[in-house]
Amino acid sequence: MTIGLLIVSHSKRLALGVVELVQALAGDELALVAVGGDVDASAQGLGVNAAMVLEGLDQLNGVDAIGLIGDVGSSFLAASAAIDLGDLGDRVQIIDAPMVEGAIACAMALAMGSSFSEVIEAGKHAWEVHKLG
Amino acid sequence: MPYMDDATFRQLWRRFAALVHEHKGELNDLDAAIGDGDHGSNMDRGLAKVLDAFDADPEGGLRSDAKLVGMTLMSTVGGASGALWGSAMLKFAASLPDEPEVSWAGFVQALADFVAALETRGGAVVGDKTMMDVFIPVTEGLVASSAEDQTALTQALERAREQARQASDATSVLVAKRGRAAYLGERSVGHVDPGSRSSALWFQALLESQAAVSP
Repeated sequence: MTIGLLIVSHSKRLALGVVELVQALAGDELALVAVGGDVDASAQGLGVNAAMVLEGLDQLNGVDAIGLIGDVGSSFLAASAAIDLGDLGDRVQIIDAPMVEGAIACAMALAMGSSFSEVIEAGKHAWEVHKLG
Repeated sequence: MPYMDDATFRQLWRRFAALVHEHKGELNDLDAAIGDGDHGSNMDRGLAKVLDAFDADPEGGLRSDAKLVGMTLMSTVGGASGALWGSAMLKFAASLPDEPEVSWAGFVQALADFVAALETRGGAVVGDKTMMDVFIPVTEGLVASSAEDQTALTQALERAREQARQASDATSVLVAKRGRAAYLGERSVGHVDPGSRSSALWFQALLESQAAVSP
């Protein structure tokens, strides 16, 4: 089974930065896509909506399962609206994880050939990893 | 018996768009106090796109227009508002019969399904200082109201507008539990929730759209 990750942020640059970092740490052959608001490209500016999330999911239509990691608040509303709209509940799972740490943890698990459920668990486990001792 | 047809439904959204446009600054100011200050501009932009979509499809149809509203708001309004209004309007559309008009009871049932979809998507309850502080009690009031003729309906909608306005005002004393305002905790007290205010404008539009088409 092939697995991809979608990073959903209010800021496209923030999402792209997470992808950049994750690829540097876990390998650039992983299926990773970034979506988010772009102040230069749209009237909406920062922020994310369901249509953007659907576009991102569409870019990952070659993979069997997609883990979705968001930043704050309404990114999850937009994500769940998009999953409903595209009827993608079987293929896409929202992962409750801190965005940077969770994306790294998921990507490391992916790079080691873990199953989808192990990838999701790795993301959730990122909440437990403290930075100072 | 009162009913809702496509012309009235479009009138409702045209009136809502006009009211939001008129109150854009007020909605932005309310949002600036406890959020990011763009609720008015955000809704105004999305609703302008809804009106463009109506103009591009003069044929319309009640159910297809409801779906059009949902899809347009979902793809043009950012943040929680776009996802909530958009996905709940799609549920509203799915709840309508595919007919040129729906009985008033059928419209209110679709509105109840809209509110249920908001509850599922956003998870907010009454007292969380959100649009739900308006939509839940006002919709319950409409479900319980008699609308056996146009006079009764107008009275029910006048009550709904008043109740919505008061419910929105009453969010001022609440502590925000959802969205960015929740980070403010007690400091969110003293400010009206902008989402509750735009929701109250929707009920005002519902009344005024009926008045606009009634003889």
